[in-house]
Amino acid sequence: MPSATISIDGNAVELLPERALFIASARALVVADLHIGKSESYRRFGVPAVDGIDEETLTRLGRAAMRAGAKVIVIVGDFTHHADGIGEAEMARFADFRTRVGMPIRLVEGNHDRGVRTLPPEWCIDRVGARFALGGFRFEHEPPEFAAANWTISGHLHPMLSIARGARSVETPAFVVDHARKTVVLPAFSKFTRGVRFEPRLNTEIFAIAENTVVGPIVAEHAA
Amino acid sequence: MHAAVEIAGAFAARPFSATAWFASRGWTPHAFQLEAWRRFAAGESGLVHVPTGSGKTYAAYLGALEELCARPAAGAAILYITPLRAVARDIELALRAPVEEIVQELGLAVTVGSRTGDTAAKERAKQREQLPNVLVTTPESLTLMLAGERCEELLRDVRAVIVDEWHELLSSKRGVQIELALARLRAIAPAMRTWGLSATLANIDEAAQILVGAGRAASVVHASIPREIAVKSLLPDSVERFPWAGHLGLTMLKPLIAWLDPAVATLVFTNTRSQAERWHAAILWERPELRDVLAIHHGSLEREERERVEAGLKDGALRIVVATSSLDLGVDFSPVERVVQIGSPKGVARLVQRAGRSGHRPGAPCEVLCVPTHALELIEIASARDAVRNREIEERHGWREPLDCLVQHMVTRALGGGFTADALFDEVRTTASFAALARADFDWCLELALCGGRTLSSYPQYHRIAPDDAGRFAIASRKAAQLHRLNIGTISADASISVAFVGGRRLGSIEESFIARLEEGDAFHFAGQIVEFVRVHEMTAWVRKAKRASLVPRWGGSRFPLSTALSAAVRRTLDEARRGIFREAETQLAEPILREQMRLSALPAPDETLVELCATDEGSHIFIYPFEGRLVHEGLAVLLALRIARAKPATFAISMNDYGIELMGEPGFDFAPLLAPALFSREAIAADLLEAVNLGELTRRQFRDIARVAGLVFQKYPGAERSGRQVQAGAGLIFDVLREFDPANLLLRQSEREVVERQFEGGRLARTLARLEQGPLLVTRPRRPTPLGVPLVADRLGTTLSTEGVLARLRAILGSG
Repeated sequence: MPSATISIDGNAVELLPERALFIASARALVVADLHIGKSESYRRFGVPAVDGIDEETLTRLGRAAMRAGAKVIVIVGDFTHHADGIGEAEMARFADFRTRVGMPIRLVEGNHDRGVRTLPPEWCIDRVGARFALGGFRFEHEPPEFAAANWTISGHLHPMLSIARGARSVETPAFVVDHARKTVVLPAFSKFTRGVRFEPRLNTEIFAIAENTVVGPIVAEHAA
Repeated sequence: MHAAVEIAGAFAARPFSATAWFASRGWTPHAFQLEAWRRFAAGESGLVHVPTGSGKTYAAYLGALEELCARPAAGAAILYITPLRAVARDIELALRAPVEEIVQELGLAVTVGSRTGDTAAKERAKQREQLPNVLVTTPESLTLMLAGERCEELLRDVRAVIVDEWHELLSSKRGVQIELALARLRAIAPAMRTWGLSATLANIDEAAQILVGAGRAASVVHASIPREIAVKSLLPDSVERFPWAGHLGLTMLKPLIAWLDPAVATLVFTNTRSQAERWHAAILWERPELRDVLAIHHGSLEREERERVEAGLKDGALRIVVATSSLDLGVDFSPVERVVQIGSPKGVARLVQRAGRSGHRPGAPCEVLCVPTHALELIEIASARDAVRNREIEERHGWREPLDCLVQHMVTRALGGGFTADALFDEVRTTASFAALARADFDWCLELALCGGRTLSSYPQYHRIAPDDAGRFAIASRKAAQLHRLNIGTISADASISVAFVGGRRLGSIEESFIARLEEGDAFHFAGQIVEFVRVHEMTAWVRKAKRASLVPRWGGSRFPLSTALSAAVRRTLDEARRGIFREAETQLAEPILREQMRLSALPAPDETLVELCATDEGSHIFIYPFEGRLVHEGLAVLLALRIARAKPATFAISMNDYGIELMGEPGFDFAPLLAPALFSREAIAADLLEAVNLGELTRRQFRDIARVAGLVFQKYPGAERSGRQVQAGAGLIFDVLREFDPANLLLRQSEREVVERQFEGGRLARTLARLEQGPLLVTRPRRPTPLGVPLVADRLGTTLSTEGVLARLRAILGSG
């Protein structure tokens, strides 16, 4: 499963097709927008949502952490979807995940997490507030408007590359590397999401995930 | 409401006579009215077919009333079903008129009332004890009555059901809802007779059969009141500066404004809601003094606003109303003098119906003024006139076995006294729609109502009905009952969010996709106002008043396809042009464009299909013109694209309109060798179309409505309406997830089936393929897109069909950059 490696401020950063980012120096796997329990909260409103979404999310998370050789997972916000979505099944599922994946998990708070006051203690999730720093990077759920001294890794937007030429068009989850704001925006980790469309533009590189391959950098010239 | 005319202790002194009542008012019954009364008295059921104009209500009603007076009933004896609850009050008044006299002169007690979504709670409570003798209701309220525990008792004396506007209901799922309700009523009250009222249809006998049920005798009473229909048009001075395409064109605005006269009540019909907003705004911009007498009416406005407009039209306060098909029905009671049709009417029956709204003196000719918005519409208007003259009206067909309706009906029946599986199976098979229903499909529906089917069985909210020891099904819980009552019906709201003034009233609703593109301060036209977007909060788009705007919201899926009757007439007009005949003023005006078409390419003879192959910088194009309407063309385009792209992975941009289709491939792609009969083969058409619609986006659109009617997604949710709506907007997403995680889900199968059937449009797609397969194809190679082709190129809305994977496509896009 080909990933792409980029260099940010001299740090090697790997963009994984599992929709995760790996900072080699800190051995940190960074993900955003898991929206655990989203299908369950849909069901509570009477909408049928199928099983297996959270399971797939967690399997992929474990696989990415294993493949990259991570020693810590940083979740840049929206780990959960809604307090209503954490039922017994979700409790058991995540507890089971924790028996397989034991490394520390740091949660940077996202807008969806704020509604979930307490997470089950047996999940062993370390809530670090709205901002966090590690290995020379900042972590903040919503992308900052202006560049900070260090690069920021964010989520929230669920970026999707949207590009077309002639008859062909593609819309697929993507990493957005914004050199003007010194920010990397991660694609939503959950597949049960829609997102904001991005087209390549000046000072911004896009790395798209297509069929388990990370393709990029896609730059402004490609959008002609 | 029904207490006013009751006189205690009265009994029949002498019978009520419809003829005598007519005479007392100085009216003479029409032959069709006499015939309808006679047939009712003879115990027949059927359809009263009235082209335009009035008299139909009394034709169906007075026969039943005569009998009611001869043999009084304690409860409901005559049900009058109207699709529009806004006119229920007017109908009630019309039905009450003869009754007033019966009470006064004959000393009979006959009660008249109505039961719709607007009926007050107090009145409804009273009706739960006893219904009035004559009851005006809507399909939804009738179904709700059938979901009442005491429905058998309340409805067992029903002798006549009258269904108004049957031609309109017939081809929607509301028609199926009525069929199922009628089957139930016939089981409760076996002597009941059913009479429908219908405007002109080509297949009037079939419509009558569907109404009275499978295998029962259906009578048809024809009203032959000749009423001349004049189709006029407002023409541009020359076609030189008239656009070739684009359905929102305002070129004819100034001439129309000059023609409009606020002293004459006028309805201006458009084909889409966007077009209505645009024309309303443009008229107001040019003639601001009309502000108080000009209004807009369409289905996305708040109900209060629509009712205000309907009332204003009726009492004469409003003089000019720009409307969509939301006013096609039910303005019988309004004194409209003139009717305008913006753009092509797209169907002959629609034009006749709209024209029928003009001039209200019986026997007076009716007139409609057509306003073309682009050059090709000149041809359509000329063709429509020809078709109206020849009385070439469309057929309308009912739905075949929509299982979502059946699931809903099962829950309704479980609420309304319960049912056993065998008896219900037999009962639903008395409807035309489900006459050939397989027991396995019935059982699948039962399973879905019982426990949500296979995929959802672990969730208690989908356990809606439950059997007792004797195998009789009843509602499973109070919660299930409450949810079902709230969500009864087959009309779905769009995935939309409401629009409201900050701190003020609600205006209506707009599709989410439009709102998503707006930024704060963007101004747009909506509900006849100019508003400025503030923000979205709690599923409402908040707006404030603004001065100028250029944006108009777009609503998807709201364009009518060119009908069979009108497309036949268009082909005839083009054939005349081919032979150099330009009879009508419109075709004379369009002559330069048609000659340009012939110069660059050709016009087809009646047995030919025109195919154009053309290369541009953008890519390689093929244009095919079957003239069969955009629905059929949409199916045809994805089908052909799939068949071509199956041999070798490829991607095509697809475009279609009412005249034809365009596929665009990579530069250099050669379509010519593919134009063999095999490409158009009818073999495996169902399977291919299914594969194609799944590659495309068509099924997704259908899914949400089906899930809702079947009771798996709720439009209304007690105590949590806002969240419910929030969730509803995500139905497309749920569809995607189901498709990935549960591809065998039966709801997906039904949405595919419905898409395929809709695309078939009563076999129209198969007939189109047959024509293409048998040929002859008239293939030309114009050096640039022709007048027929340009609209397709210009209107390309981003539909693609691809058999390439995401990665291959992405690499191709990047590689060629």
